[in-house]
Amino acid sequence: MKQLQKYSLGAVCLWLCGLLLAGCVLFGAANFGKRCSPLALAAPEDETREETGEALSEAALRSLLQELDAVIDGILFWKESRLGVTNRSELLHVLSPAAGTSPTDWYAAALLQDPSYTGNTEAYMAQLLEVMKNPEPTDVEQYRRLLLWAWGGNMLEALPKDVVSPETLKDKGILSLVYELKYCAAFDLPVPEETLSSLLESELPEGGFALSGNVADIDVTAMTLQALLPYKEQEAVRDCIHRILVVLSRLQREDGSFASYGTSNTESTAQVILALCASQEDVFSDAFVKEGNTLWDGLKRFQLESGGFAHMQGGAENEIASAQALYACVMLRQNLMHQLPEHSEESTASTEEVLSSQEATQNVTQEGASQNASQEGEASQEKEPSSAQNGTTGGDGTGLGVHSLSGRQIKAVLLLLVALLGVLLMLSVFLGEVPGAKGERPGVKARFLWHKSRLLGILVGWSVLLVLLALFLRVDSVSEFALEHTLSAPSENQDVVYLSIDTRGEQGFFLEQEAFVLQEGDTVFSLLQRVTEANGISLAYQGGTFGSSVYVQGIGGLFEFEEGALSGWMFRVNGVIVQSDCESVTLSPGDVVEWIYTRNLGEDVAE
Amino acid sequence: MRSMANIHPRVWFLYLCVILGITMFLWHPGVAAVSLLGACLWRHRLQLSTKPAQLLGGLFFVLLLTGINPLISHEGVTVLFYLQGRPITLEALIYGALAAVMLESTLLWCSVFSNIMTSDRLLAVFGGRFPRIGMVFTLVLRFVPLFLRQWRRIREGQQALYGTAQSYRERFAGWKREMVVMLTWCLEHGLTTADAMAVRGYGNGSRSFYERYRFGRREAVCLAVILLLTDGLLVLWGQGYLRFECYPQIQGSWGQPMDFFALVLWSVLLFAPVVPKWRKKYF
Repeated sequence: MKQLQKYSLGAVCLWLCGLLLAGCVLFGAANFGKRCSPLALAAPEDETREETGEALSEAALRSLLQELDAVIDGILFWKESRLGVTNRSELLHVLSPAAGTSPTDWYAAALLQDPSYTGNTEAYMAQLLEVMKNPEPTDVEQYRRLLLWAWGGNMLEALPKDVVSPETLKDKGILSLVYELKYCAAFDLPVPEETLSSLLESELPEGGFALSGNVADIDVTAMTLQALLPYKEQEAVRDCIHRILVVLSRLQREDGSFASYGTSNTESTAQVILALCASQEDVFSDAFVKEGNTLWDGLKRFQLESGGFAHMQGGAENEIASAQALYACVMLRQNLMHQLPEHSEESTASTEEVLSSQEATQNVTQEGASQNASQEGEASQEKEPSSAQNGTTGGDGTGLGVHSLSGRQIKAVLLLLVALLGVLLMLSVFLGEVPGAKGERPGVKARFLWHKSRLLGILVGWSVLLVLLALFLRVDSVSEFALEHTLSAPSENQDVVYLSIDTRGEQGFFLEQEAFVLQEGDTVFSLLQRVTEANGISLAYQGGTFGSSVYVQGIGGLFEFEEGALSGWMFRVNGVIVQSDCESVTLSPGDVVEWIYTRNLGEDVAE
Repeated sequence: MRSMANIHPRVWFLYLCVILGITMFLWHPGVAAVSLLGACLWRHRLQLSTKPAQLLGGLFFVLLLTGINPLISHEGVTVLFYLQGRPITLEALIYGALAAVMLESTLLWCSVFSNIMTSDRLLAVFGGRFPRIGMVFTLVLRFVPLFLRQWRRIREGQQALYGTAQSYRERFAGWKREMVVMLTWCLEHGLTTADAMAVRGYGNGSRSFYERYRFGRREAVCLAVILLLTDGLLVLWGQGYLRFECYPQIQGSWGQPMDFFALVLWSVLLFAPVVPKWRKKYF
């Protein structure tokens, strides 16, 4: 009886193990499922960078820059819609009446720093000058305005006499020291040794800086780092910078952001990004990646659907937060642009110029950070329902492991698997029975021969297969493939053709009509293939080998017959349906090719 | 005490058909995995061969099919990598694995089916009501093993006459000879069978049928349990559980409590008869 119980226990255990295994497989699949949204296939480049923490590949850099552009665009759009501005180049002009006040100066700093911004700055500078004549400014405010003045391309000498000199306003608070250092650096004044040493003295015993108390404050620490950078020739300053970087790295939160007064917020995160950009540290270095989340991940999770940034998670749009985020994004973009290979070749001459102005701009940021602290209280009170939270957060789970492997590594794994399969086959044959009747024993020699020949056959066959695969198999990882197939934008003297891919359904356009460079001998199919590869849209087709005709079965996961027996992909050239092999239709310059998903054997496409 | 082997063949037939049907038509990783495990256990209990060679062979088969599907099908949206410029998608890989496991378990269940449903049981299933179908069924099922057995006998005879084939040419010639002998034997055997049946009165009006098996209370209980479990499973399926779609993106229901409950129902249906305690009692 006991024996029996043991057996049944064993069976139940086996069964549970099976269920567990199935569960693991299923949950793995569930995670995969969540991760992949249709058509967003180009995204994985990001993951490569986040997981490995290595220097960014060019493809990753480009996708990151695109993301940055989108975020910057979002903030500007939000601000414009608030002000009722329709033309972006007028934004600074509209802002000018508020020049010299905190959030507005931030937008100005970001816009002026952005090389792609082409707007008139004169009105803003004039108003700034007016504000500086105000008889009772605080020293920090006055420093900020002066820095903006310097950064706007003006000299100290150009200041009118009636501008209040900030030196007379000194109160020797830590922010005041920080600003004085930046002010001196911006106007190339002699090194203020006294200020520098008193700033270094105020470092906390555990590292970092704070307005008061013994706990390092992120904003103040990051600002101090920015102020110290121009003086890093001095050994004491260099050591201090190193300590600050260590402290900052330690205080980063798991989601990549930074917290001030216990709350992760936009401003603190933005300040650290600014400090790292200014010190030309790699913003994406391992030291600032926590649980796979980079600083950039930490910042962008505060963006709301409207484009503006919230002070903290779950909050509403906040002027200072949006302005600082905009500024950090603009600086980060500059920083990344310099890492792009061809950019650095083109603009080595202008690099120095940009860098010096970059440093000058950093100075302007400090003021907002100090306001940050005072804003903490207000911001935490105006808690909005978290439904306002944007979808940009989340989705940062573990990526597909395959994406961090290069094509070569994937190929090695594949070959290993094929070899293992061969071993499995040999084992199953070797352990197998000799064919023949039950109880019949063939001679030892016959048995041996039988095994030997079979095993030899498998061995030779499998080795040949492996060698062939090793020689001729071409494996690309997704990022390598995208990089290889990146299409350059057509220049003016090149012939172009236009392509669009329209599902005429819920999924809308896979590709809105776009111009592509016409290559020699291009057919409708070769164009489609090139473009889908470059855009990470999956393409399934039959034929095409040895000049046979090509039939496109599915684009972007949408296949023929999925929406009825008469559904499938058709194409039009210049508005005319072509009912023939897409490989045989040669394109000429200016042709408009439309791929349309029909549900009625083309009758609905004809319209 | 009546043994489990004496349960009415109609119950057995229904049971195995239900299992085969669900295994083949309910596409869900959980169902397929449990089914594969169940088939292996059943084969073990029936003392069918579970040698490592066969398990390895099965594994090879499953892995091969899993690998082949993504090479042929490029559906799905999650591109893992590109092979010869064609995308290998996660969805196709998972679809391949699911299909392979399903196929393997179906094959194993078929072997279980043929082992349990011997010809006398099959005749009892169709019984007096469909004598012709039962007749044809048993003849067909008997044919392949009979054919193989006869072939082996002929080969042994040929080898005794002419010796073991030394070269491929000789072997081929041997096959040709064996095939000719087989063909004539088949024709002759068919005639003999027909004659023997005619002598026994087949085809001369209606015949009475001797039922060896009784449909008693135990059969009713078994039938009720099988139908109840199957109904539960199908109702849950109808409610949207145990659904699984691979293309274009993996979707479906798993991990919900009701899914696990459905899998438990399915497991009870498969494993209950092979639990050792009951088996010892009935088999």
